[in-house]
Amino acid sequence: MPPSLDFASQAIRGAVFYLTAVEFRDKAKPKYCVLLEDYTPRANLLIVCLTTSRMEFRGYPSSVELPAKTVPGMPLDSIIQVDNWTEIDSDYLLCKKTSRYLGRLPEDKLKEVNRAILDVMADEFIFYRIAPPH
Amino acid sequence: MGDLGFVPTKLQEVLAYIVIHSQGERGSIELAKLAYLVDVESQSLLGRTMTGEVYARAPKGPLPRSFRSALQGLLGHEIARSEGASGGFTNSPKHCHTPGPKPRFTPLSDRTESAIVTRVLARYGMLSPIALQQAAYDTPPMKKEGLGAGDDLDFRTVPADPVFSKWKGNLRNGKWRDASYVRLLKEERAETQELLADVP
Repeated sequence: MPPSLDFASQAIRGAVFYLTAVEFRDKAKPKYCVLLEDYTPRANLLIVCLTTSRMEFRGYPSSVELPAKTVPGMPLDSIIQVDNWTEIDSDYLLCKKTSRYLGRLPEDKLKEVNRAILDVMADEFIFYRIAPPH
Repeated sequence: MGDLGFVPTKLQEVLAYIVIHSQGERGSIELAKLAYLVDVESQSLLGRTMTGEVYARAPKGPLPRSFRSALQGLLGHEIARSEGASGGFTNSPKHCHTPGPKPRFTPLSDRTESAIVTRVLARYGMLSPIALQQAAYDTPPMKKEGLGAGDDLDFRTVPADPVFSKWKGNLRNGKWRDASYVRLLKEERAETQELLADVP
């Protein structure tokens, strides 16, 4: 059963999408993105960070390692690189032609992402409430 | 043609931003309280107020001392004013503020500042006037003992946000960003931006 494309169930921190509409240079290393924040100044604006399969990023405070199959549909080991964040239109992420919803990060990985964000993020980004006060 | 030479104060930018990004109209007292809550939030996160204004402890809540002139300076341009029923909050008619017809500037181009105001609007923007007043009264500068009507408020009583304090400490400890990491990240980000820019 494919995951629902209903916005309410996907627009949650830690939702993982496979970007199908972009041609990355190295096709053997497909990119995935992780939704970090939907609480932004514009209604359709989301913040995501991109994963990488360049293992040179391993061990940095900005990196969260994601073993293969941590999320269904991610066959290779990869790294969530929270320094590599970008703004994206919600229509783009929620359109079947441009992206595919794979699932959500497990809680422990989400905590690691929050830790990484607190450790490395730049001024403008932290205000999107990635790691709200508890 | 608008006055292109107009240079707004930071308070005017905050007021214009609040009105433009509000659903529906805003009353004067409501605007003053929201601007105050923006400054409380800014003090907590950044260690300084956003507007740099001096606030008085007025009967209906905190009031920037230059509020009246700041708001007056925006009328007919960034903000339009009409009169409506007060809803019992005051005895006089309510001044209702909506986005104006001839804006001369785009308020708060700094993303950090606009994010703080957005955060305040999300938290307090939908409150009733009474609830908003209570929220303002619950802040440390208003609760400080010994204050009377008309006294200046002291924003140094606002505690620093613990998460942001930790984050700022971490930023100072950024020596791990060596040359090879910076190069890797630059490549990754360039690829991301380039590819996403081509998406129809």
